[in-house]
Amino acid sequence: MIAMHKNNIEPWRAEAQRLLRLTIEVLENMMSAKGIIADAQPGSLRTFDRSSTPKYIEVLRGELVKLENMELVLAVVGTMKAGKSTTINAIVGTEVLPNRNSPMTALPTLIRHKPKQITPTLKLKNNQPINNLFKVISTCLENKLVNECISTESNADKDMMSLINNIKSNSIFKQDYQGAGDIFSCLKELSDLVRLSKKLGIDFPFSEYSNINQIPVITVEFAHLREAGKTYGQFTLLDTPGPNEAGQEYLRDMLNEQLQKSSAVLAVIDYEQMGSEADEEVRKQIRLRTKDCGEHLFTLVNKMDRKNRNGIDETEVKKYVAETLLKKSIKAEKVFPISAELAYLANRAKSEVFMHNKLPEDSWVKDFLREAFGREGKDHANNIAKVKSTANQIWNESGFNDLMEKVIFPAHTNVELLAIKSAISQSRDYMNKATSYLNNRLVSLSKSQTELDEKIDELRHGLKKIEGQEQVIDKLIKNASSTLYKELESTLIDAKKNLKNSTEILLKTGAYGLTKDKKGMLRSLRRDEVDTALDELQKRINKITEEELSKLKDKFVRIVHKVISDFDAEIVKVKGIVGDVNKSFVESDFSINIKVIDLSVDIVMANTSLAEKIVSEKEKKTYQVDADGFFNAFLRLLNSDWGKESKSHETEVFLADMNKVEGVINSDIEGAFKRYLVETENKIMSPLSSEIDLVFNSLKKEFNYVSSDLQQGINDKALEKNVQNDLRFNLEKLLQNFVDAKPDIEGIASDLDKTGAIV
Amino acid sequence: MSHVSQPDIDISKETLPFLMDKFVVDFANGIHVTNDHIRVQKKCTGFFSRLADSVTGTSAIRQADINGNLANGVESSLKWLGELSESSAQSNYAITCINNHLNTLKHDVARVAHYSADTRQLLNVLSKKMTERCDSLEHEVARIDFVQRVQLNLEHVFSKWGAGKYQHLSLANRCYAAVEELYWGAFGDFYRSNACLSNKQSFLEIAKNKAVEQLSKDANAACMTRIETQYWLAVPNSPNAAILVDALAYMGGEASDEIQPFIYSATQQPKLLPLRMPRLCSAERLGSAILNEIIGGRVHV
Repeated sequence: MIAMHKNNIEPWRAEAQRLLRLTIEVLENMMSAKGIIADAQPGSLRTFDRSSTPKYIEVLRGELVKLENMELVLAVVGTMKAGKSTTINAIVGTEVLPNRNSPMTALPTLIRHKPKQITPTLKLKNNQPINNLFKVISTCLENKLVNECISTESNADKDMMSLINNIKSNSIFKQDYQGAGDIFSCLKELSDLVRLSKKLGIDFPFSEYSNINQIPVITVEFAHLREAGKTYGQFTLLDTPGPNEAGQEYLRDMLNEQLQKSSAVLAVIDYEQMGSEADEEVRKQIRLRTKDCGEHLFTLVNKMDRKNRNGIDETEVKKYVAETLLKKSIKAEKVFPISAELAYLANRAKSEVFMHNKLPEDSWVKDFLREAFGREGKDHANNIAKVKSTANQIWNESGFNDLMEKVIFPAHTNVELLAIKSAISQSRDYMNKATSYLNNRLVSLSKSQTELDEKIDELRHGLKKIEGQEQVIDKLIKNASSTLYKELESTLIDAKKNLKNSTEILLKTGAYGLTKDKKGMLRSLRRDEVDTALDELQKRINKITEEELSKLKDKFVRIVHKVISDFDAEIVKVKGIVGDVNKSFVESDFSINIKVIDLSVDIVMANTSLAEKIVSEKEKKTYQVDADGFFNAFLRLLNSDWGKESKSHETEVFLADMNKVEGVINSDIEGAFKRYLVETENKIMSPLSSEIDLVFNSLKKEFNYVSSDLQQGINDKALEKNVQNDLRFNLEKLLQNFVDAKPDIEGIASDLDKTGAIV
Repeated sequence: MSHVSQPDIDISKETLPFLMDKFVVDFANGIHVTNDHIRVQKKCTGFFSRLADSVTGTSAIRQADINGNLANGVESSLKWLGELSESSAQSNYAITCINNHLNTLKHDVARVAHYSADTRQLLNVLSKKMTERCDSLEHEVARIDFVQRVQLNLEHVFSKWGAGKYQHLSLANRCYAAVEELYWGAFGDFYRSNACLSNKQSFLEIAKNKAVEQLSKDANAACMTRIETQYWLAVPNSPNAAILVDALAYMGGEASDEIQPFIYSATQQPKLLPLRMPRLCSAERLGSAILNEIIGGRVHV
């Protein structure tokens, strides 16, 4: 977790927004001021022209939108059994979600914190598909048989009956619902509708809700956020249906995207059910839903109130849950024992006291009072101060406070930090570019035509020198490539010779107990003798090949190192040329800072132990074919060419054709060498080449930018004196904005560097 | 208009000694001669009026004069300006400003035929007096020991700040008040004189360093530590703070949010900070900017 306190992020965000807005404003002023930004011209590279500048502004606006709309999204997954709805109600502090023993979340729902919004509202902009469904169902129910059937089946189900009656009476599904009660019934009706359409075999229009902007949004002030009095940007809960609930195939992509984007995913499981079969199913569902959530997944173990803890402390509980109950599938620090019920009671009580300064006559209040004060709860109902302080205490005990303070806000801070960093980096980039541009135009005005021409010439010369260097470096790389190839050839010849000699000597001397006959055959009456001889031979060949490959590697390493050091020496020259240009321009008051990008190729030689690996993995007797294996072909050959030579003989003779073996050995070592060359080319030479292209292309581009900007300066000189004066005034005014903001942008950039947000 | 007691105004004058100079200059600048009418600027509201009250003591009568749009308003205004510039305009800067405006007025009156000879006469006498005071200033600045007076000015202002005389002001306004006091004092005279640039730069540098040092002491943070801007702008919770807030709002009333975002933010206390005001500032950034906005960014007369 980062060390930054969450309170420090707000000024950073505010400052980042300001700097973005300032940059946008000044760029816009540059566009609207006369003569500052010229039309784009084909073939001419200007830092700012009428086609590129609006694009820059767009980029910065995008960053601004990202910063402004940054929501802290807490996705909650789990089932009704685990207490998902209660958990959400607990965080909100009002019973916005129905809580009963059947799947409740028909559609994913956003619950958004909005300061001062005491009465919750639900908005379902896209109500048309549901009303269409109403009509379809209504038509369907006109069929007597269907009607009777459904009515009988649903007779005991009061909610379902009321839904059916609603549909029959042509009521419609609204776009807005006000107040917890209405929202409650709306969501209940929605989930009953899913069940009903399933019974009738009618498709619920899930696909109409596969976009996050289409799903229901509840807006309300979250009780404990009101009290905290801090601004955490937008705080939103996302209630997600279980992966096995109806219609999920239409919602999966959207939900997966939302889960990944969210600041934290809270998976709610039930402590009392842990280990049971039902729980296994729940956890399987959660795993399905959260497999891509990674670091920002937290497990809330619900119903962990005082009764269940039996005096064990928090760390022990976490450890027990993570290691014993969840079988180490999650880290202990990601487990949070909570009691959603307690949290809900506490937060609801706090909310009531805040709004009405008293507790209402309600069934939950009894629960709260019992929880808070034991059996004599009722006696304390009117002691509001006491109720308040006890509610706070219970909220803390419920584990929610810890979860918020230790996990959720820091996680969000991290997400925010990354967005702020990106905003600052963009803003700084454009500020620097614009500063140079404006300054160079301004300086150009005070220079004579000759001076400007000289400067452009200087750039041209510099560019020429750099192109010269580019050719030198290209040649270096090409030479190195051909040297690699030459070395490969000569080493290969030696290696082959070496291999041949060694095998010859071995076979001649009968070192394996067998010798080659005139036809080049290894023969024996016993299969295992041939087998052993070949095994031994293979080992020997492996060893020699290893040695030869390692010689090749040594040579390659020398060549690669040589080319890198030659390259470095040439790049130093390039840097010298660029440095001279920079210096000469800065001395003439221009602001340029052309940079030679550093190479980012990792010079790691390919590994030569390819052969060793394959051989060592291979079972001696099986000779399995492995597509990449170095000795595969060799082994394949052995398999097919040894065996019974003739059935007519009285004795079986086992043969191995050593000529063919030799051929295979040669082609295999050649293959291994070539693969090594290709590896070296792929891993070192070609990345080096493309990096070098990148370095030179960006360098040449920068030269061209400055040159075009100066050319524009020459054009300015042709203007009337008073037009020039206006231009100067505008340039100075625009430039001043960036000069003033320079310490601010550098300051925040260095602040952010020190934070090191975790990606 | 809220009634302001004399002790309140005294606190303002004590904390911000240049307040009366600014008042007289504003008063002078408010006298206009156009088409036979005078227009006194709308300064006659709020804190300006309170200051006027504090000077006249008989506000009702004077108010009529200041607000009056009769032709003889110019005459009475000029008379009053004469008194005020003797009693309340202590600083050379104020005298220079008044002198400049009187010259403009002389020019304007010359073009308008209807002014009485008395008014012209009054204007000429006043203008002559001011010019004399300005001339003696030039001699003063040219004297060797003037540099010592600049140093004394610096020391006096910063020791005053160090001794907690600005404790009722926000941190940013402490710096603003100190730099304003320098600007209206010998420091400012020197800066506006035609003394050599490097000497001016040195004094500016000293002033900046002292301001940054004191700011960082007051904020209890290193001078490069970036702190939330709101912290610098927060008005201390003290009974005298309110009247000083008004006084500073008057002092910085002409600051533009684009060109002097720091002074504007410090003295006008806008609900929304201007775009050019950083949301995070170090003592260094704040001190440099305020100094720059007052000394570097103003049109000097």
